Amino acid sequence: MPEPWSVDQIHTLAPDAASLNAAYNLVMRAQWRELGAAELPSTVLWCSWKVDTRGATPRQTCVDVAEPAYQCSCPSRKFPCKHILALLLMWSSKAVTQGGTPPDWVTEWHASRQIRAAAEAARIARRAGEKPEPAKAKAAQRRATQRANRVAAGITELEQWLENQIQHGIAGMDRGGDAPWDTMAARLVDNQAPALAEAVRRLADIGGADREGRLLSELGLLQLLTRAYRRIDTLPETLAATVRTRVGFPVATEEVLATPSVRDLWQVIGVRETIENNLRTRRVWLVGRTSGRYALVLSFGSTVRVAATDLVVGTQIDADLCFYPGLVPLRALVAARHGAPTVVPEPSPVVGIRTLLEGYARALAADPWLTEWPALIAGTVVPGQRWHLVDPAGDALALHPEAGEPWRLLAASGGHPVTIAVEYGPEGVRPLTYFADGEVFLP
Amino acid sequence: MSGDVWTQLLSVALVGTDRYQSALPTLAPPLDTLPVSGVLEAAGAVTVARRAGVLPHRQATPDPAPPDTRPVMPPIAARWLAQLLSPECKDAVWIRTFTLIQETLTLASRRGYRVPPSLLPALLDLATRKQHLRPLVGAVGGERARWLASQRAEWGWLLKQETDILDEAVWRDGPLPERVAYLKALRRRDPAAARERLMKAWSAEHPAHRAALLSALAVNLGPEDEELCERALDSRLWKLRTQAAALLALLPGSAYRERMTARALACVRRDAVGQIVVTPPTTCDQDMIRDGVLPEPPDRSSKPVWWLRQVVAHTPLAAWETLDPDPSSLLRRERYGSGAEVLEAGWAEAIDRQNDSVWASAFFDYWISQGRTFAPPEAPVQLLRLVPQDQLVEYAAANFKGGSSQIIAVLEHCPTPWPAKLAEAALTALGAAAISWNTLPYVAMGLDPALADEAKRRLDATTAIRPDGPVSAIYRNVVTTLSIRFQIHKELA
Repeated sequence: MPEPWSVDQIHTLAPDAASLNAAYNLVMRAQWRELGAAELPSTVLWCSWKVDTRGATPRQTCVDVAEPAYQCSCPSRKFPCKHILALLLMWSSKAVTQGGTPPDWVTEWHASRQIRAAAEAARIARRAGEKPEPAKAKAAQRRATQRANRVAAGITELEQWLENQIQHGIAGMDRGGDAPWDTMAARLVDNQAPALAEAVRRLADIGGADREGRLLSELGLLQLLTRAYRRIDTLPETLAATVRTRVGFPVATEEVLATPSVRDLWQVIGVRETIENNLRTRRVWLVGRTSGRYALVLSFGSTVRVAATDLVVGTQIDADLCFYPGLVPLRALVAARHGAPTVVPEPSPVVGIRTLLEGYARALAADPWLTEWPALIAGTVVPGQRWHLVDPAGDALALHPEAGEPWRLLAASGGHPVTIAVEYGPEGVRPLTYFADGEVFLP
Repeated sequence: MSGDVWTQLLSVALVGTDRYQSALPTLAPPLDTLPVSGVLEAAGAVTVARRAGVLPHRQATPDPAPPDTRPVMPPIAARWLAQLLSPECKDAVWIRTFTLIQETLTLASRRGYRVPPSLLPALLDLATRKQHLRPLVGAVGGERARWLASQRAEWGWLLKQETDILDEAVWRDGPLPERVAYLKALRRRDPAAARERLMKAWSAEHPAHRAALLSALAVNLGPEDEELCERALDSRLWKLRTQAAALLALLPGSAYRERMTARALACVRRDAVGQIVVTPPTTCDQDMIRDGVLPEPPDRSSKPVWWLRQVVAHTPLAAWETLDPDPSSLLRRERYGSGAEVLEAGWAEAIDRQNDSVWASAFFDYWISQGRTFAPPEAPVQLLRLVPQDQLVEYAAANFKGGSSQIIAVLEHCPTPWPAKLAEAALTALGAAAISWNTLPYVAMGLDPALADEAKRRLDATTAIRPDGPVSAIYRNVVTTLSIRFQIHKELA
């Protein structure tokens, strides 16, 4: 049986604190009827729970650790639900013992997953071989032209809006509350430029020290984007793809999967989730063990559902990744897996802060709108009015204001360098996870 | 001079191009041809340049933590501890997460383990709130915890060892509780020096502080302290007088004890048939007031009876030997006379003040035989701390089923893991599903975890409750807690 995940690894899977709380309640009260694990041949954990009401069917939960995949018969809208989390927590503290025959519902679920996986693989293979029908291709062409026209109209409006702002001065920009941004953002949504809309809406969140300066930076970058889009037909293809992504043109999954894939031992080094407008965005950072290449797997869920729960922090997987087009290919999809994930013993390659900044500068030269750049840093943190990340060379970066006070990280490092997965951006660096004593922790 | 350029761009942007008359600052090509209306493009380009040009700053780092060579506690216990300490694992009504944490730490410190460093912040936070955990957290936290605490004021308590408390400056200028702690620490080391220090400062001390300072003399109390205590009795503050009286009553051979004994034996005597006859004092004179007796009762009860109760409470228990050498038989003698009913309360208070185990044992038996409970105002529950544990175990084992109202109070003072007799009583009650819900947590934490399987067997065999119902779930929690504890014990054995 593979080494069970750590408590913090399981915490990164929880949709919210309340479901973790409920899961601990289940663990501490031992509300199970049947609990076990078996190799089928991948490790499967299962649990059926006690019910308090007479006649109710017991909740049945199972987890395939190899994928990982989760299943629970409870009606909760949350995913992973408290039962799944509780089963994982019990596994973590070695309360689940291997052995025994799995009940039928477990083997059935496991078999059905394999059938479905095979069917899905066949479907993708078939799609890849298919030539689009001419009628369909024509319709798609028409839709694309329509969209381009609407986006162009949206860009024109945005340019007009930007010009108005700068003519009147940004000092009085927020006089109308959030309304001016929201109206402009809504117009851009109507014109099918969702990424631009999001960028405009986020202007409202800028506050604190040097508010005007940061506002000017963001407006300037928006201006560069509108100028770039005007010239999109003259831009090299990869730069054009970057611009289109920043504006918000979708890229079809098939299109991504059709690009050449990159095989490596991909280490899942960090996860960051944001919840905005009831949309949960989960950003999973990967680093290729041999290539040292970074990848970002984005997934979107709701407030109660975590998406892409198959990439667990602190594990590594031998897989093919396909990257979205662009000058700085970061966003990727997992195209194929070659084997089950294993625990990362010691993540690598680890770099210093100077290398991180150089990497970000190089990436910015290609994609000036890039605001997140990952790295594995050997370093420690120093507490203070503003906390800092410091590497053994003595180079330091201020932590992101939202990073809080990572006392656990400080405790684990004891002032000596530990491997820290970070996400760097213009506002500072965020420690996402750290690796110590062969385990992964949240700061 | 990009800083300059940026400042200039910002000032253009702030007022707006409509009102800004001069040209843009000088920019490098290709930005040099931009008109004023191009300020946003310039700002965009400069922003990218500024972001790409960030250089790391230099930051002084504190000295790293000294090495701790002790082994980290083994993984199962560490995982459990991590779960128990996570903020989401709130106390599930009765599971007593907190007690489990304490037990795990105790076992770990006994075996010389330290905790995984990542758990230290949670532990330090916990011990900041729960003071009695501090020595334990200090032990399992080791050097790393001390290093961490030196960087956060809230955790500063960890660094205050006895040597730090014995800081001259604390005695001179510290707040009162720290000065008392100083004095106590000094008493432990050198009682005479501490007394000298207090006597020297005595007249300069604020009268309201004297009682607290005097209480430090309870540590290593000796005949030499009598003089200072007698001086304190001259105070006009009752709080100080009663503090001094409490100390003097504990001091063998003190004049105070003799005075009190005389007063008590004048009020309480044995008659011809061996019964106890009580006559309360008729007045409360200045000498009695000086010796700590409050002249006014807190309620509208009889004044002489109130005086009597206080006299009994302040009298050394040895004084009663003249009436009956055996406390048990003395307690069972018939009593009559005005105020006879407060004798018990007075004795209970005296036992508590004088920490007398022999009397506590006799009193416990007597009290139980009268069907009375250890709850204020009748008898202070803290008397149980003085009762020999065998006696408590005996009582708890005999009274386990159903759970009398004071079984919890008694179980609190039973040694853990419970001795065989008590454990068997608990298992029997578990098998009959006859334990009150508020006693169950004590069973879960009191039983030897090696009995987890046995507890499960008893519970499985029971026919008293429906196996799948909510009541059964409550009982099964006992088994779960026991098996968690069993795992931890096994690993830390």
